[in-house]
Amino acid sequence: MEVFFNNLPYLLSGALKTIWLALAGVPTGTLLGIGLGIFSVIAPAPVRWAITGFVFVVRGIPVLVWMFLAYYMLPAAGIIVGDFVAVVGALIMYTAAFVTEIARGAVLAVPSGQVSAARSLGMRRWTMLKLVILPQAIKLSIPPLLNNSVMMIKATSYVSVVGVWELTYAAREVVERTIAPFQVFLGAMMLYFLICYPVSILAQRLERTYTYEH
Amino acid sequence: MSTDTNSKDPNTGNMPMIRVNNVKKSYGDLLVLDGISFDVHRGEVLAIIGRSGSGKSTMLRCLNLLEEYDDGEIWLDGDLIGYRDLENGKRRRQSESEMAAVRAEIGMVFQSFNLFPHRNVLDNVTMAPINVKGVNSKEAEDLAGALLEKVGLADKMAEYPSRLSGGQQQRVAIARALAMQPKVMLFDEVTSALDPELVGEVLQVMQQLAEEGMTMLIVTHEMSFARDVGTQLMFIDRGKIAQQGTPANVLENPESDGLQTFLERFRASHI
Repeated sequence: MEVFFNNLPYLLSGALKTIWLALAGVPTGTLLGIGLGIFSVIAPAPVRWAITGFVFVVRGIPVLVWMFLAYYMLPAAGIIVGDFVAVVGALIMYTAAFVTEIARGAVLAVPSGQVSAARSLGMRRWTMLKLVILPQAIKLSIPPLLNNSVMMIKATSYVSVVGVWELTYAAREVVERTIAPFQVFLGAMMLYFLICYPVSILAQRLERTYTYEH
Repeated sequence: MSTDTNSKDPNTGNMPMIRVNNVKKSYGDLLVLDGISFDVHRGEVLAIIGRSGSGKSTMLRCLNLLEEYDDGEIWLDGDLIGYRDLENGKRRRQSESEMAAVRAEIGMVFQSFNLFPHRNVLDNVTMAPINVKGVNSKEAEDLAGALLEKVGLADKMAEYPSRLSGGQQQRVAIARALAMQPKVMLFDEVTSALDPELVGEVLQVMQQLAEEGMTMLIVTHEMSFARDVGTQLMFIDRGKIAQQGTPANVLENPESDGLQTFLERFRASHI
């Protein structure tokens, strides 16, 4: 593992960029997706159709293709953005598409009796959503949301293909210098695990926080 | 251009608490309520019986506007609910906020309790008064305390619904509905999901409410309760009122084959 430890500072820099990419893309995409998921249940039909269309189109195309499109097509269309902004935009969009379906499913999974009870007490739509539906939907959606977040953190490695520097890109550079792929990628693997593991811990804590089986 | 009338009966003083006039309701081609009409006066207890699928629960859900009725009229304390009359003789559905305001005046208790599982008992009872009626927290908690005392659950305020028995949950649901200080209480087969030994505690609370003069409509399969507590008994069959009258008269003099068969099956299953 000497090769790994000798290049650890460089790989850690890559890991920090990976974290930065994930922080810029995943929470934003998750919040956007939660909003779209809620609207896909309560909004008027044309809005619901538009959201469904967005989900089907974005989800049906690989994230790497979206990154290529963002990286090469936006400048071609006259929209000049940096490479970081382009790939983060693709990450946000892709995360949002999956989270929309998770949030929609969680809202719909709240039993209809809860809606009947809330309405029978005179609650209007937003009051019911805020007090009755969302608190229960949040609990239902924590495991799939955190699972999706881990998937999207790992998907940041795709940005290396379009030339954005991060952990996987850094690891490839080290391999080219050292010709020690096994040690270097094993080290990168551990760094990815260390990035994703706290998210799993967060998931467990959130589940405990939102439990009401007291 | 059409304008709204106030949809208020000019003879409100003579109006019953609930007047249902020729109400019809369909789900697609299936006619569930076929011209139902009845009155319930202040302080009366109307027990509604009938086979599964006869339209009893749909009737209750139309009464508090959880379901739209297609035709006819429902009046609550002199006000037309669900629709507003227009001056051109037509009518339009009430807005969502208008219907929410109507629902706040009608308490409903469900077969499956439907307590909010993420909030404790006290929150379940205070949530609607605070967030719908704008009552301040202290006042809402005082009222909730009194109501939970009334249903025998003052010591369970901090518990979550999952820690309560079915009978306790249903009593909390009654307290929750009463906290809105409704004009009418609707009970939709509230003991059907309970173990037999838990039925009595819920019926006792309902009987107490009836004795205090609450106007109540109760869909039930508890015949002895309907006989003892009901001031009227109605048998609904295939979306129509097949018979209505005093409980003793309806149960002892069934006029239709449907009611006779229903009562025979009920007696056979309770021997």
